[in-house]
Amino acid sequence: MRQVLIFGALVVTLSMGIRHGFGLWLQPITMDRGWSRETFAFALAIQNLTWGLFGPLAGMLADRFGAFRVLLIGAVLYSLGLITMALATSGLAFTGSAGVLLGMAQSGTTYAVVYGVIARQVAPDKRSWAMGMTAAAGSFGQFLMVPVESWLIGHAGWDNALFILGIAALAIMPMAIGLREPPAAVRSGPQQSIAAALREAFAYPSFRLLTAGYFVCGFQVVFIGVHMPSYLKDHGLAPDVATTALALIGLFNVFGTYTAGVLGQRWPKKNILSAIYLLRAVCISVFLLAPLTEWSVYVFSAAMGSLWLSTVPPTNAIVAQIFGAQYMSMLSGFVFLSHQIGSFLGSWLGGKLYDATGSYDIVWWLSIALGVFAALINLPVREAAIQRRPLQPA
Amino acid sequence: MTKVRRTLAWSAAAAALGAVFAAYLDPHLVLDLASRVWACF
Repeated sequence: MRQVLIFGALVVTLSMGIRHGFGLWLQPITMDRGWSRETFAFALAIQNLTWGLFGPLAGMLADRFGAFRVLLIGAVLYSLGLITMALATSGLAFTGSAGVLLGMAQSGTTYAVVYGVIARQVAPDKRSWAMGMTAAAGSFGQFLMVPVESWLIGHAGWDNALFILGIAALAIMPMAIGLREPPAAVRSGPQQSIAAALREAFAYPSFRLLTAGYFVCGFQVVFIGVHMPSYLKDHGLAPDVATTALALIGLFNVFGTYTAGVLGQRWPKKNILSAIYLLRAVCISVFLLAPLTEWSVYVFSAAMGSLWLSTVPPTNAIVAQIFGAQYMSMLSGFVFLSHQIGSFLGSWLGGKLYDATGSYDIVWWLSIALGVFAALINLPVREAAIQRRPLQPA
Repeated sequence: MTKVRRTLAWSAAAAALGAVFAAYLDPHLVLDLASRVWACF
């Protein structure tokens, strides 16, 4: 178990970390290449959608052939994506590299694939904790890589920084060796077909509720991450407030994800999810209603940071608990697709409604309403393992 | 895991988090990040 945890954490630290600072390249790339910001933003939007769309496929391959092989392919794609991102001289090539290649790479190197191994290799009574530990490592990667990437861009130049990260991404390959499973482990359990597993999951109300809740997570996190700096600027706050807010979200996110995993060992995970979404709604409401100051931003950032990716361990642990480990990565990939659609809408709708109304008010209140909705729909989720009919002999 | 190892592990994690947080507070990084983040809007 220790080996799976250590190498799973290292893989996720790197894969989640590298992608988190991509916004830092906006200014140097667009200036150097003479592109509009839309070109850059479009590629990153495509990256997020591709990550979501390829998640079920990467998960399916990981469930069938083992996470090790998928991680190897993911690492190569990650490296290729970063190197071609530096070399791209047209918007189309940039979308292909930073958007499609990196989106595919992320689907093969992040939570869903690693969690499949955890679900198979860690005893159910420690699974939530193990997922919390891995998610905390991913959160730490995000927290760590922003200053590292900023330093790299400043000292090596934006293109060399991408080459260096392209080489660093290859480190996922040796790390993946620690997640290698014997073929028997991958194919153990009831021999259910992929189609049967999908039919079963989508016909199960709790799976649909979890998927809908994860949509809200993506919407809220990306809306705040993308649009909060602009919101603070509109309200006359100094630029360094946004930077400190970013640091606080990153720091508290590490604690929040780990704590959610630990609490999942003791309490029903659906209640934890419900509490997280409700607390998000409360935090956003208080933030909007209280006078906006430097300190209100810091308190809000710390509170939201604690709730940032804390939905990841309980959501995935419930999927494993209900459906077992056999198709864990694939089913997590489908739940995550919903998260990414929410992310896309959080980013896009934030900008669209801001342009239409001149304020973020509607999207803030929509985030609150969605938080309450997600809190309510997680309550009826049934966490118990699904009861399957015994397989009929041929 | 023994109590000593656990304490060491938690101390190492706290030190790593503290070090990264301190990196965010470095004035050069604050200015660099702020200008990059602000440039987006």
